[in-house]
Amino acid sequence: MTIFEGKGVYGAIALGKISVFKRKEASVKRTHVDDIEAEKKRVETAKSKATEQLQEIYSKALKEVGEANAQIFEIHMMMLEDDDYNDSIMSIIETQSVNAEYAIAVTADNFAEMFASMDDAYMQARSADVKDISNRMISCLSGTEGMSDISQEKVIICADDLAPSETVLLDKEKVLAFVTAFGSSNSHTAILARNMNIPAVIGVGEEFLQTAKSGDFMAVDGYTGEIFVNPDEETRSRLEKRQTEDEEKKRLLQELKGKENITLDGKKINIYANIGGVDNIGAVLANDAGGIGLFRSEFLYLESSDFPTEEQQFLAYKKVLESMAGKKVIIRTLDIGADKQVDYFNLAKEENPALGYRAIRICLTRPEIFKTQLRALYRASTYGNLGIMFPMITSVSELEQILAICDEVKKELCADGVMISDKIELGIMIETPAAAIISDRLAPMVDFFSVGTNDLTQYTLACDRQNAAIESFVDTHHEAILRLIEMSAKNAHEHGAWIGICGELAADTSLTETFLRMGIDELSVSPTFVLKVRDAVRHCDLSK
Amino acid sequence: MVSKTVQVVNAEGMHMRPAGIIAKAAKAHPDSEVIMKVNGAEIKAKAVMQIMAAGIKKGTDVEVFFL
Repeated sequence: MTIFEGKGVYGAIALGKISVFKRKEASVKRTHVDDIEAEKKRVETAKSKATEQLQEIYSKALKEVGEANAQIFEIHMMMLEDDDYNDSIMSIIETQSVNAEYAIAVTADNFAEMFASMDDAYMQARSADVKDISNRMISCLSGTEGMSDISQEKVIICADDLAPSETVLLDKEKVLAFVTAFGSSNSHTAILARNMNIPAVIGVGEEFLQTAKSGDFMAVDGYTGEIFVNPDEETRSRLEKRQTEDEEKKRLLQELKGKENITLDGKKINIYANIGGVDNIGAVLANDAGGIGLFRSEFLYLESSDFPTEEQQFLAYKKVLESMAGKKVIIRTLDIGADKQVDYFNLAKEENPALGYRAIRICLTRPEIFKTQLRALYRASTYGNLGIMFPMITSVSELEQILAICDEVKKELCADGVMISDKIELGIMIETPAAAIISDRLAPMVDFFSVGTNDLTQYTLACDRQNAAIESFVDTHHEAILRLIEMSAKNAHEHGAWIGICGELAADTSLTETFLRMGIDELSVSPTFVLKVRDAVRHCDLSK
Repeated sequence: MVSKTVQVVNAEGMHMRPAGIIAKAAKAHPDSEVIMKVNGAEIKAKAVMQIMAAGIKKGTDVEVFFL
């Protein structure tokens, strides 16, 4: 097995036979011509033929990649008509009495050179476009066709590079993927491949083409940019597995995206996503989550070597709220403990960090940290649909203190003339047995509960989640947990609050029906599970 | 002669597609010349290559002349 690496252009896996593509290039010879006028006419004829071809390619591109990306070929046609481009070709023919092919090749080189020397990576990639149209003109002059016919089988095309027009002409039915030795990710080739959903890796280097032979078997990882020629058993099965998972996800996405989270008998539930950073917002939206049920704010503290400032936090929260465009975003206040690496907090080492000085306990004893976060949250609130959630709650008095601090922060901000949303929802995590048991007293004080089943299970069953030795004693479906959830749900609803589950259990589809029957209002899961849970909900029938 | 100064607001500047759109629009007026004065140089708005070659970035002022 030989491994090469380039830039992955489209995230997908492909496995198949290599087909080395060798462009039938008309080699350009410089020849003397006597009939200048005839030569100029040849250019005109080639140009109209090239334009015709581009028109066809444009039509195909419209279907494959849509108007915006197909426009590339409209512009190619414009480039063919460009005065400077044509003047250059004609004047070379006139002044040197040479053939059209040569004049076009020199003109192409000059323009390509000009683009390649620009200081903008985007513009540098445009030299490929100039070469594409010029090669097309030259081919039209010599009557050679473009790509040779691919075999009947589906193959992975390997070439030194692919011109934009060649990319669009690829028959998606026959092409599993393509790999090029050269090429830039700014190129239209890359852009088109992405839009045509063709797995592709570019820029793997010349050596690859020297070793690859048509008929060899290869695996392409469009995510990492790795390609494996004649992969070993381990690599092959690993990639095949990922390919199957990918395909399953795609299928789910096609079927379920945009559909409602509704049971067969009409009961609805919200399905949100859990994320821990602004980079994952794309995944939340791509997987069609209805909102963010848990935004772990710890990343701001963990990624920093000192306390993140109010401004830094504000910008992060604002970004999330804006990106979610009106969909609910529930941000949990910092949930840090001695088990996490945050030296600047100066947390003393603890015997039992899970039962120790963490989360809200830090916030209540060091209110400056808490208030900074709250100020940032309240300031960001006007940019979207915000919910704030407090972790590790165990008592009414804790909650009273929290709400008092919130009021204080609001008053201070209002006095400064800062706008705050009047629709912010405040809620607490139900992740301690205490909170679940006194949920009737907590519910009237908040807008919502969110059950953190991971910690709730740990504390209720008195089992350390990380301890492999007692794994067999941990029953995630333990009746005690389910009863605590049910109790919390009942108490929430009795006092006009809604309840969601953001722990791992939310994604457990063997419990979806149970949760629906309990009247759970929201399930928040990792983005990749949103559609799986939706699927489960849509197959439930609570009337049975 | 009519002229106006405008600023390029596109984040990627005047890249290939906007250059193409401008050249196309300018060419729709065969009887006029459309010149763009930018970064001290004069370029023909009908010449898509010239526009692209000018590498006009976001925030640049362009004075457009219609002759």
